[in-house]
Amino acid sequence: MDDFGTDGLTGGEDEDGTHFRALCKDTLFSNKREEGAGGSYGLGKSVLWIFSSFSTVLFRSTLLETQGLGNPRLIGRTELGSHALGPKRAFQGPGWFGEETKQRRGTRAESVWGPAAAEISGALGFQARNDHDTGTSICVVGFKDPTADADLGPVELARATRAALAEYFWPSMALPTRALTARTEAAGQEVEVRPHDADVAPFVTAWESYLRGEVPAKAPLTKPGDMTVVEVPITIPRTHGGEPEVKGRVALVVRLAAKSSEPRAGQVAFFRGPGMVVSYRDRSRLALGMRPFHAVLACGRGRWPRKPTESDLAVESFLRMSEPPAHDRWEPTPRLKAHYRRGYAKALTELSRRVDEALKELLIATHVMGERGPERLQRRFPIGKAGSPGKGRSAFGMSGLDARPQDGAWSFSGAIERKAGEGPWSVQVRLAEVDEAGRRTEEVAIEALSVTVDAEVVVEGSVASVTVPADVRVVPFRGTSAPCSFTGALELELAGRMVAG
Amino acid sequence: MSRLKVLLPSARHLVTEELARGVVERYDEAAVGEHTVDFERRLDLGGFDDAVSAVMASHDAGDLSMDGAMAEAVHRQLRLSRREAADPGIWRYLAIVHRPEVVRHRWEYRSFATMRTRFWRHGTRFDANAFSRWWWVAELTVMAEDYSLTHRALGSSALSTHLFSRQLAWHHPTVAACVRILADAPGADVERTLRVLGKMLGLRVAEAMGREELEGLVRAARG
Repeated sequence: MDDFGTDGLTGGEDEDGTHFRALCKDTLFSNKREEGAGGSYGLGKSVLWIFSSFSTVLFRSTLLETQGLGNPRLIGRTELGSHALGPKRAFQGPGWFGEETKQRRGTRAESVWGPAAAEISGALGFQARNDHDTGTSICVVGFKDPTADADLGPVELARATRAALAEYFWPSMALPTRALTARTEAAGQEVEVRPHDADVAPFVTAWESYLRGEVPAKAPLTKPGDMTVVEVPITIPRTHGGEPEVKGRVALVVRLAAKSSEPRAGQVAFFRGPGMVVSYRDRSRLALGMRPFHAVLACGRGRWPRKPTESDLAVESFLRMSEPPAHDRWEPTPRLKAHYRRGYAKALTELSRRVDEALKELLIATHVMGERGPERLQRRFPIGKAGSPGKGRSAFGMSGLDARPQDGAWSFSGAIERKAGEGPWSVQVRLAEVDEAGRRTEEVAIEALSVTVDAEVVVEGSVASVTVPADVRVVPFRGTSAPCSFTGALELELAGRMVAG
Repeated sequence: MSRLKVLLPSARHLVTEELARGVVERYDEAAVGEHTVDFERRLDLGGFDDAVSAVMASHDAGDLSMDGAMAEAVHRQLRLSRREAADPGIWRYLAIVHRPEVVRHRWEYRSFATMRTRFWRHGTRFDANAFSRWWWVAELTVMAEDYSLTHRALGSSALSTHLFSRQLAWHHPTVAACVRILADAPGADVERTLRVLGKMLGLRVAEAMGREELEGLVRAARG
């Protein structure tokens, strides 16, 4: 594995708090103290040795600043309980591959520097890089996946690695300078990891559009591909150290999907600054009738990576501490408890709840029934009996409903008004005969429907649909049914739907 | 002497294929005790048992004509208010614990799905709990101890199936008009007429109509 454009493994052999010590020397310790760090437990690097059949990992690094020692730097480490060199030289702990140097008590292996390191690393199979290509290359000796039932070939392994990178690291790969490539010697080719070609493509599109500032706030989601961003509040509690409560925000970017059968439709990708998806949460069943979507919840430094605010950094720190060692969810952890006063668990549950609420508000089609009409008309048009009563004020109201037999068919009229919300909206009109219990017996086909405002009317099958522009609030309508028997009561159903958020 | 009890919803698992088929003839009352509570007043089942047994003895298994006699017997012997009879637990107790063989005698086992509802589902539908259906149909058709309408209504499979699944069945004069006119009608005719009648009553108030008017309406629905 090679990284480029980084500082390299800086720091002396025994210098605390350096990249070199953190990656190569200190086990179960992380020097990632800053708010934007990815990990926090120092466990991540241990996988390097776990994946080596010989528990051996080699590091070759080109440093931005070598302190006169010369690039590159080379060192290796074998994780051992103890080991011996011949019958008389026994050592406790790991074995090191490097230059033997005398110490006050015995000898030890230290990093090899400069031309010697270049020569040895070349012989070990490291690719040469010039001094401008700063960064670190890691060689896992005798790579073997301990979790796999069977050894994957290098090509298949590379494919699986690319897929996993695309699935979980696309937030950090959105910027062109952070492209990742995967090259396999066996296949002899270098393949760019392209999240845009994976199942996660809708998330990537939403995220990149958001970073480019192209996603409008609280905009209507009317057709597949439409996007909007909503800011969801989060309250970080006071710390034991006396830092005050912080009221922050995270960004929920929602993209309307074409259909619910799309891969990962209905999922929300949660992540923070370092740009690794912590989890995908399936929220497709939040409510009946929810439109399909893909959503991204960018938190902490991730909310606006170019210029995070103080509160973003507070959120970043809070969420980092809420991640268990696997970094696969946000939950109350001992670290949160040790750092924050009461309210840290509630902050997490509230965040989830508010995200759900925001999704519902954006994605649930609003079916509404309006005010009650005159008693006699109510009997004929039992509007509002069907469907859920909903909460709060209705977004639509109806007025002037009338229906009467005329020339062997029903002639009906009325008006529907949008009382709340913005953006385009639509109305579906249906007629049905009902029996003595108010149960629909059969649909009565609508033959024609006209409106007196600028709106599009489509009569298809037995249903009339009216699509109304955002600036029209009231739609008076008049229609006729197909010829019918007038046997029973007629039910007129008007279903208003906000196609905007 | 046995007393009427109420079977609690927790006893749903007792409706098994073995019970429906008769492999399990009946459950030991003591064994299902945790799922039963006493009916709110003492109601001995001695007369009920005798009457039901007599009907069984006089009808072959699966005989449709048993319905009228069963309905009358059950209704006569179980003097319940409508509020009391609205508790599905008493009908479940009778069918699942007390006299499951009566249900099996009336209906030959064909599928567990249907048989299951005849033990458990409350109401008057054709596939509802047998005792519940018999009692309620009798309740909706009896006129001052006269069960002749009950017998006629249940004598037609099509009529009892389509009539007692509709809300109009709760209006005695309407039921009477339907039975008088449709008791001997072909099944398809009954089904269509009741569907149209249902729609008609969406616009008309049956309670305000006399016998002649109701019968006229049923005839109009029949076309």
